[in-house]
Amino acid sequence: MKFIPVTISLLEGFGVSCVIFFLTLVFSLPLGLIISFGSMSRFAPLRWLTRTFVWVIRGTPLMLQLMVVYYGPGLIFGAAAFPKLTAVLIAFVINYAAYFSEIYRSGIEGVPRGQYEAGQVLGMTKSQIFFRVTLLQVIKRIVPPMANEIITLVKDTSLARVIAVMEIIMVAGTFTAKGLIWPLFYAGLFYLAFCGILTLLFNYIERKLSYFRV
Amino acid sequence: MKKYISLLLAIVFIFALAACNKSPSTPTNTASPSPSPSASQSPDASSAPTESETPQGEDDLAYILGKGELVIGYTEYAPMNYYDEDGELVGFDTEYAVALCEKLGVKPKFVLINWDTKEYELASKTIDCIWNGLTVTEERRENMAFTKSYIVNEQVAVIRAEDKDKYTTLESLKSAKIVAETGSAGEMAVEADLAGANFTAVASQSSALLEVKARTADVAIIDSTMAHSMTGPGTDYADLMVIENLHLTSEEYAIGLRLGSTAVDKFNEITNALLADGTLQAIAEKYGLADRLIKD
Amino acid sequence: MPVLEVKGLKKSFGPTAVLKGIDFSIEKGQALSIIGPSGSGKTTLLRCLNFLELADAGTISVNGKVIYRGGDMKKYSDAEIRKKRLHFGLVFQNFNLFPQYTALKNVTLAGEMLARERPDYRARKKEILEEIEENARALLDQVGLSDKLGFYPHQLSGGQQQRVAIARALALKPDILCFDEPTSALDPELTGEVLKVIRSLAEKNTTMVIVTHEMQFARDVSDIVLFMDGGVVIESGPPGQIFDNPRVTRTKQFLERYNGT
Repeated sequence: MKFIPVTISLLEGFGVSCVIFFLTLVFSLPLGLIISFGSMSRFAPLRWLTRTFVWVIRGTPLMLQLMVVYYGPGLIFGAAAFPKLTAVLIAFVINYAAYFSEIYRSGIEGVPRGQYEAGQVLGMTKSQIFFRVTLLQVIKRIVPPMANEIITLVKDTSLARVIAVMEIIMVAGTFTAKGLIWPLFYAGLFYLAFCGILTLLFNYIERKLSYFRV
Repeated sequence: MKKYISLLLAIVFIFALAACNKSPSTPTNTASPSPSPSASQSPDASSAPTESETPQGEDDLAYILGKGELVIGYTEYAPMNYYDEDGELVGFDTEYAVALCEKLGVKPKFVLINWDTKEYELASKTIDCIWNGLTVTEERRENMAFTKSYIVNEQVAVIRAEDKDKYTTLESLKSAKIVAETGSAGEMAVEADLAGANFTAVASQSSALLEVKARTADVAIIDSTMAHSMTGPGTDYADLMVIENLHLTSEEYAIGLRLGSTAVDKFNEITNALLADGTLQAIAEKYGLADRLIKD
Repeated sequence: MPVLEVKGLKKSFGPTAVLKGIDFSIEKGQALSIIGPSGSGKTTLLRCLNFLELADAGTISVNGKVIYRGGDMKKYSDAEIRKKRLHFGLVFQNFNLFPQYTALKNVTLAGEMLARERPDYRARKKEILEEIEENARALLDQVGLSDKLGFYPHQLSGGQQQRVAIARALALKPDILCFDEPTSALDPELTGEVLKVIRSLAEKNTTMVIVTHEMQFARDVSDIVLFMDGGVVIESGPPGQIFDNPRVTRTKQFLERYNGT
């Protein structure tokens, strides 16, 4: 009866979820790499600082981080708040960059020392060793954990409703308040479909990289 | 990164401070006349609760006038604030706010908020007021200043239609499994009228209804307005019903402003004017709330 | 003039002195085997020759020219170190083939990278790459793997992987080819094929430094044998002398334990 208007509203909410998802990925994937270099740095204070940062971010709920980013400036400094979507992106990008950095780190540290040394004794430069030898091995190692984390991100976007960003679960909730229960479960189908596509994509990448073993 | 850590530390510090501030204020609260469980009473609407509180820092009214804009925090909650079929934000509170802002000489700006964190929104100035069928409670007075109450917020009991004959009186409800939103007027009503009942607090009014429908509870105590709009035909709760002629302790709606706000008196003054010229009466009639409008 | 001359080479890791002054030299076309108990510093010596570790003191000379002086290295740029490394090739105990490349690509990769630095690279790119590939095919044929060119490392046995690694090290035509216990990671039935390849290299007068535990092999293939223990060279000489007539008691004891007599 109300199927079409509900679908349209949920699609709008899902659009917001997708914006959060894709922009978080775009910024946190490279930021995570920078953080992972920090946590592997030979300069101890930088390494210590980076690892403390990662500990704080991974050790506190994303929901709390969202509230800190959004309400923090006003509560602490009396400053103007970020626009809501910006606040969501700041919190998500920082949070996911911290998680990604640990995945990158384990991937990079997982490449045997011998691979670097083999490149060195063959007269290759550092960048040649990175791009020609280790990079693909790192990618192969990190694809499964990254797939996990990225699929978690899809569902974590629903946390944005903590600061009343109209993502799909929040939209579904407005129908609940009007006496309709089913839109909430219908919203679940959107996540299922999206995660299904991502799963296929990651399976494809894994298959593409299955021609060699690390 | 450093800024973020310092932010986090700062907020922990704020929480710690808030916890410290709370303890000295508690005795004053217990010393002041608190509602006895049996007496069905509500705070006197005309008394200005903020008189005892000193404005903190700046002049809130001047701040709002200076911006030329009143940022109003709301959630979708018919008939107070909701979207009509044309996608326009309407409702009693919406029109009331527009009328008040016009007299105040500022533009209203409606911002959707998360009800769970409304106190943070106020304190961090992401909004200037909560105007969304906000029930006046003693607990909330610690975090915000209320204007004079404008609507009686009646609480009703919602049951499954099949239990129509089972639950008819307050006495019969005492054996039932009761749910209400945590910290809501519904919970207050349970404490006042159904002391000792088998009660569970849930996250929201809609989840209270869901509990009844899903048979994990028997009775939901929620706002009358919400109960009627959610259980009508065309909803998923058509098999639920409101127990008629059951009178529970009622609360009142008021506008929530920042603690110690200097805007309270101005808001009350404009509200009195809107009552006097019949504006509020007209809006209340439009949304079927005429009998619940507080006219004095 | 020796192709490689090492003098007074010392290396410590923290307080532990691993090399306490190593001297030896090797003529062009000779094979030198280094034997000795584990922890005697054999592998560290090879790593110092390939600049995977930088020796604290001593000199390394190639073709009469000092290319490394202990403690000096930090002054050199990465590019200079790379150039010096190219005098040496190294075959690892664990092969360290690049898993994402075929056998052929493993052999050609470094050559392709180096070719980019040639001034005529742009003009003759296609020819150069063809030369590199031809050379790699010939080397893989030489180690008996001409039918495995398109195989990835995980599709090859340990012995085959090690033979690819040897071809890879040879592709850059090093002055001295080093082996770090090339058969230690292999099942016993696979050591033979690798040793056969190294033997054939010796017959072609490839200059080699071989760290090994295969005593019979060392005796057959070497021109000189170096016995190391505790970070010093205890005894060196032709295999006949070391294996049949050791002059030092420790050499004798080591070999007796090895031969189980």
